[in-house]
Amino acid sequence: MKNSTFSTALKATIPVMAGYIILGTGFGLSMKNNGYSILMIFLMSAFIYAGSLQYVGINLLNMQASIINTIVTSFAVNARHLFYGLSMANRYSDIKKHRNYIIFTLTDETYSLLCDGKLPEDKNNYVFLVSLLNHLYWITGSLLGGIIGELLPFNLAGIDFSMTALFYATLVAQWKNNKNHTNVITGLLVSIVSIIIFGKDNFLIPAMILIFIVLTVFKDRLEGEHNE
Amino acid sequence: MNNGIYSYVLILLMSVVTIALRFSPFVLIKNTDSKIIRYYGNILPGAIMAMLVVFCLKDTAIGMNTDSIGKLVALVVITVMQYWKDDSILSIISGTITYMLIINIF
Repeated sequence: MKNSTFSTALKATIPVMAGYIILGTGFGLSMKNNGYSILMIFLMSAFIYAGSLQYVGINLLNMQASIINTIVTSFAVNARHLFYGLSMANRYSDIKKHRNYIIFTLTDETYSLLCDGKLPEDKNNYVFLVSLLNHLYWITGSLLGGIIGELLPFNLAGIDFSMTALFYATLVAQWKNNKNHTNVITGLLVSIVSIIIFGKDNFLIPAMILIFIVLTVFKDRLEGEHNE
Repeated sequence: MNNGIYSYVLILLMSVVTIALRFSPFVLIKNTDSKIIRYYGNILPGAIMAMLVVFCLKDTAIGMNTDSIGKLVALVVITVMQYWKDDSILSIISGTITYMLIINIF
């Protein structure tokens, strides 16, 4: 492995380092404040490694949710990963070394760093290092939150908002990078209607299914208008 | 009280579902360049992000309180930062700090 590959990967992941340590700290601190152990924080960040599901997971743990509820919620919150995987299947076709680890660690942020075509010559090592570094930032942040969160020299009340900020910033990026906004508007309207019909504790799964149906029904109309 | 064995079962389930979701496209899809797959790949992220934003904001008590105002200002900051700098992580950090400052100062 070339030294320059490591420094290129490190440099590329600096924004994710900042974000993951803050978001991870928020997660670790929330877990701690809800009475969970450092071991559980570590297991979740190492082996789930999905920010949105981990935050939702705190609620699942608090209510000691049923097995079915946990599976369905995990699926609904993380179903978008199906589509990240879909679009990387081709790009990762020549990734052989550490392939399973690289697929497991394909988060929104890792995806955003690797989905543009311009990867270094030493591609396999680069993709692995970006994936590994991001994973380590996330684990480090969540352990920091769990161990010394309350000792940090500033008031961390409100850091849970970082989850909303993550989704909203991604949403704004989606809006900005596409000329057609029917998908975003569909997502908003269907979610609000689902809350009215199903209540705010149960709306996520019906909303997900309705979004999929609506966007499938209008496929022919939207396909030509929606740019990549 | 919630540190029992059942919590570890829930964590395992969340892990297994996430791993299955991440692996299934690589395992199942043979023709990754088909039109329908590209369509869903392009169209779904925006809709799902909108749904997740609604999910995060659903418990906000809308009104003239610091929480509502803090969230509103933070969302405006994120929008402006995203258009200005086009750096998601920077937008996230700016928005989060804005919200934290507002709810902690006022």
